[in-house]
Amino acid sequence: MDHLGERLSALIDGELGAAEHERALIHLAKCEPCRFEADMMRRLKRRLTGLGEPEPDLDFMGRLMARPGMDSPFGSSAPLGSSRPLGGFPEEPIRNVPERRAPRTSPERHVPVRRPEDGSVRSPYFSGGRYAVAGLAVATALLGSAFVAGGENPENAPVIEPRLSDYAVEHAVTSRQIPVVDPATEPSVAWPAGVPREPGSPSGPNETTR
Amino acid sequence: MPETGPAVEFEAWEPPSWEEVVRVHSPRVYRLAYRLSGNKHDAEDLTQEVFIRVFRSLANYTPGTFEGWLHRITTNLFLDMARRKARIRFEGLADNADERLEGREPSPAQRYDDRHFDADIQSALDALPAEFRAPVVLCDIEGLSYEEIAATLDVKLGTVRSRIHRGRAQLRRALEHRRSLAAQANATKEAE
Repeated sequence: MDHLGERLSALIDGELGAAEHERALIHLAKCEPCRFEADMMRRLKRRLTGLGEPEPDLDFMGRLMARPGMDSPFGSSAPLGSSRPLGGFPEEPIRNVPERRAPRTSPERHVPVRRPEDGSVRSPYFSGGRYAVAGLAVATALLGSAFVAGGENPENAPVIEPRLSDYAVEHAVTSRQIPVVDPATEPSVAWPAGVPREPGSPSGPNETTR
Repeated sequence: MPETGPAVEFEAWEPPSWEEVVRVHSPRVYRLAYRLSGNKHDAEDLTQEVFIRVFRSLANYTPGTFEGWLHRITTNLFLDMARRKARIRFEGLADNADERLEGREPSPAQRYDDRHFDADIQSALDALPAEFRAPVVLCDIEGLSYEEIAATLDVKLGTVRSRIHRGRAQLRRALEHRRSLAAQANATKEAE
């Protein structure tokens, strides 16, 4: 008699078609070893499902929310509102650009972003004023840290720091794909909605085409 | 989605604030990253990488589809990371995929961990090759359907099914092994 094999997993996951499901149940009724297997599998699944939910540290959440002033003095960033792409703007920052191209476009910035336990010194970034700078700061730091996290050479990680709205207009100009309009009055400057359907690769939305 | 009608839509269109995005999505991304990577340090790295991508595509934010996309990039970044590590650590060694990722030594952070942490099962998960671990985690911890997992991993449905099955079988063996080791240790203790 053929045992259920991997159909067992599909069975306990409720992933068998109706007919196959029926057949599997009939088999189970007659087959002790498969019943045992199914039982063990269910227990394992329950254990996995019941795993606790690890919570991110508040400290880490803070770093995600606001990266400014971590290792480099905040003053070294471009002034608020500056949309000048440092060292040139990546032609297609959202679409069609391989992830790792961006870092090399503006080597003059220096943002080594590391976690505190790695020994780096970090000024307290939770202090007041965080909100005041959050918009730009997040842009600055995250884009910067992208290169740290993604690139092989964190020491030379650059930062490109347009604000998001500037970024959208900037992109429209560079890519010449979307008419330039005031972002405050025309929402279509931002990418037409729809999270990329096929982000597939690790670089996610960057590879999305329209 | 906001109400229809261009004017209304425009009025309603507003990308969420960055803080909001982080607050809403980072616990979930972190949890997945943690279960996939098995330790805090890698989970944070992974989460950070995910959010870098999230940040870049904030303008694309659409509630509802965003979550699936997050699963996808988190998992893919993890697989990338695992492959990179495998290359670094085992270059030139066994080609056997089942063995390639075994023997990851627990980091201090991994030992530290929070009280909800089920060490046994997590270390059994850690011992699974990344290709099997990802579908099992997505299925049993994240509750995704086979179809969603297939889309996330960009593999066929049949592959998902067989990887989940093989992954679980290995998990069970690993857990039994740990149980028998523990039993042995207890027996020795009692004998003394």
